[in-house]
Amino acid sequence: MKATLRALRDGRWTTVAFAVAGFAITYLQSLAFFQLAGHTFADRAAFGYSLLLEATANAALLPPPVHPETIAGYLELRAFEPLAILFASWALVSARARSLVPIVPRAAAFAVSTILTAAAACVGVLAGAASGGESVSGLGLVGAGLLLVALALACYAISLCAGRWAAPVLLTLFFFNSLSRIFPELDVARWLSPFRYYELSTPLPRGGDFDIAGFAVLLAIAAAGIAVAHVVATRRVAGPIVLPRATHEPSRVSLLAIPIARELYPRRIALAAWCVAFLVLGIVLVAATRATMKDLLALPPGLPGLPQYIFTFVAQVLGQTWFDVTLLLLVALTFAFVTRWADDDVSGRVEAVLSTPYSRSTLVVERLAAIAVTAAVLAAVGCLAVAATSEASSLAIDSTRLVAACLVLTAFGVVFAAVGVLFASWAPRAAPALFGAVALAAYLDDQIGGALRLPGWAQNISPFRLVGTPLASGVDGRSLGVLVAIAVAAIGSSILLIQRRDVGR
Amino acid sequence: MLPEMAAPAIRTSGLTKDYGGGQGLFDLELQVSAGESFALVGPEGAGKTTAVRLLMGVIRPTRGSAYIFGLDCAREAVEVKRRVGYAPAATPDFSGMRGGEVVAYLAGLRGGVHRSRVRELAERLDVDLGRAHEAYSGSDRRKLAILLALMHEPDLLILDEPAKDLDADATEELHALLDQARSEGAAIFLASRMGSEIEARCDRVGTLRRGKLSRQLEEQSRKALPP
Repeated sequence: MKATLRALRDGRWTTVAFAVAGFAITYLQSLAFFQLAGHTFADRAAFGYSLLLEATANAALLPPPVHPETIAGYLELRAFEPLAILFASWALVSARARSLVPIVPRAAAFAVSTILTAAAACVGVLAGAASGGESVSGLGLVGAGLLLVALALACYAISLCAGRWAAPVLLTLFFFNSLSRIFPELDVARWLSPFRYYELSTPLPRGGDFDIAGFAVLLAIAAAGIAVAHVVATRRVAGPIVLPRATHEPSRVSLLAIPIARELYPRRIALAAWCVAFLVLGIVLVAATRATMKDLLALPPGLPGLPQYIFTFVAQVLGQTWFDVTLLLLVALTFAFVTRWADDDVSGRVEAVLSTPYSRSTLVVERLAAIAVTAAVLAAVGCLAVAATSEASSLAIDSTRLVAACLVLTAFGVVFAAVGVLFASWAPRAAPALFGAVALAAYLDDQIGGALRLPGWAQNISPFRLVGTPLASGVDGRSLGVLVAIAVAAIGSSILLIQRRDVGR
Repeated sequence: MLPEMAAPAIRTSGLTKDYGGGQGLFDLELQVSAGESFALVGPEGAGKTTAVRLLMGVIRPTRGSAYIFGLDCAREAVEVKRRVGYAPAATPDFSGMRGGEVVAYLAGLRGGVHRSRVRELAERLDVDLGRAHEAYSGSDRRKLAILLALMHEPDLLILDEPAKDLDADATEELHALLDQARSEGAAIFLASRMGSEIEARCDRVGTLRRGKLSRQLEEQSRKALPP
């Protein structure tokens, strides 16, 4: 109990940040619904139909919505589906975080945190629906909250067991489920995925249901995974019976003496996994795009305007799937870096580094450069995968625009890296929560800023908006300039802030 | 002789870090000459680690100044660090790296560290550089921290609780290493609990209570120490 309370205390700001995020997502999406959907039956039917079409094009990522013309159905699609991904990411980061608290009490503390966050999300639904004079089923809402908690615990347990391969394992399981909507060959594999069991229930909208068996499977995965991780950790502490022969030689890894490479070297396995993830993502989403438009491709090629229509369609679909998912993955990558930097400060690594002739400003610049290089490599890997797969699938993609997309993705990564560096330089312990809040605000600003009638400048400052649609319409030089300006301002502020602050524990 | 060679190894003037509620370090006036060994002792919470961290430029003073070899610890931190070897009281956690990788990483940041010197120190301290840092015991971590402080043969050693967690053999080797550094002209600044063996081996001892230097024992002769 004491250890659980300690773990809760250690993670209290993260819990608060996720609870605020949970409330904000559901509440703001509720407000957006009333602005976007209209109030007449015809308006709502048309709105629901547009969401259905959008979901069909994005079937590789999202499940088909149930009654999207109602607030409950809309929130299931636009609030609870993103929350499921957010909870899974949170589980991944929490499971991988270093802690002196043993696994079982740490898992218990995580469970409490997710329950509080799910409750905050449900309160956001109630408040948002009430603001439009409508209501949602209380029972359905409790079911939706419980499902989020169960999914998070299952992902937490899987991440504990997968260790440093947790991110690619979870991503693979996510795509096993989502891609099985397009590729029937994956029907068997989807049952390995916790996301499948989450998706079996649609408790919120009218006519939806709560799949008790699926919910129980999620809890069983969580319990089994945590138990296995606990046993493995206990044995690991006992240590090997025969110690290998001691060495007094320093490492000969020359990368550790090269700027940027030395920052990335300790993360080399995780970065290799990220590369594989970006490669696979590019391949499967192009393949999924081709599968969704097989009827279109079966039309006689001589039809007037058809090649141009297909060209535009491919660019739009890949823009909504591959490009948008890559943006979110780059944010997740940066979040992982920021979490590590926060830990470096607390664990004394920064103090050790600054006890050498290495300036604080160099620390800031090298951190930014490390993510910039990583983002550029991952964007290039993704673009090459898209180019090669589309070529092999006879899907026409403008190579110039693909290069532009690569450039924009790198700039996007640099902007978020600069924001992450800023928070890590200013208040490292709060940096992950602050970074998460800014990333979420930027995402919501782009998604529903118009519906919430935010001022134009506020809508146009979100990096998600500034990247534009490079695959469909190329790069906007002005937006790219704004992205660079944000990055420069953030990095300049970081250098100033880190000079003034006390480092370490 | 360069001007900074003539400067004292450490000089502080009104050095203060006020954490509020009487916690911190207040108006520290101190001078340690080049080649001298000085122990700053006091009970837990007296402000020893705060003094050390101020000297290393890790934390910023509320007021006052600190100089190492005539260089401002805050404004010329990079130059200061070239000449200083530092072992903190709380050893850093380098999970995910082997001991040898930690050495290569920090030696790479520092530059000019010889492999033969690292090997010699690792052998003398008996620290296994092939093991993962997370598998190190408290004693291993302390030995690695001492190795990192000594590997570039600094002109000044700043060591915070260097004998903490060490067994008798390792403590003896630490004393030998410090004696050797002294004989090669290095100054030594130690922060330690009161009554520790290492304190008795220093030229001068300053006592810190509630953040204030209460007394300094001048010219404490090493010859007068028990064998």
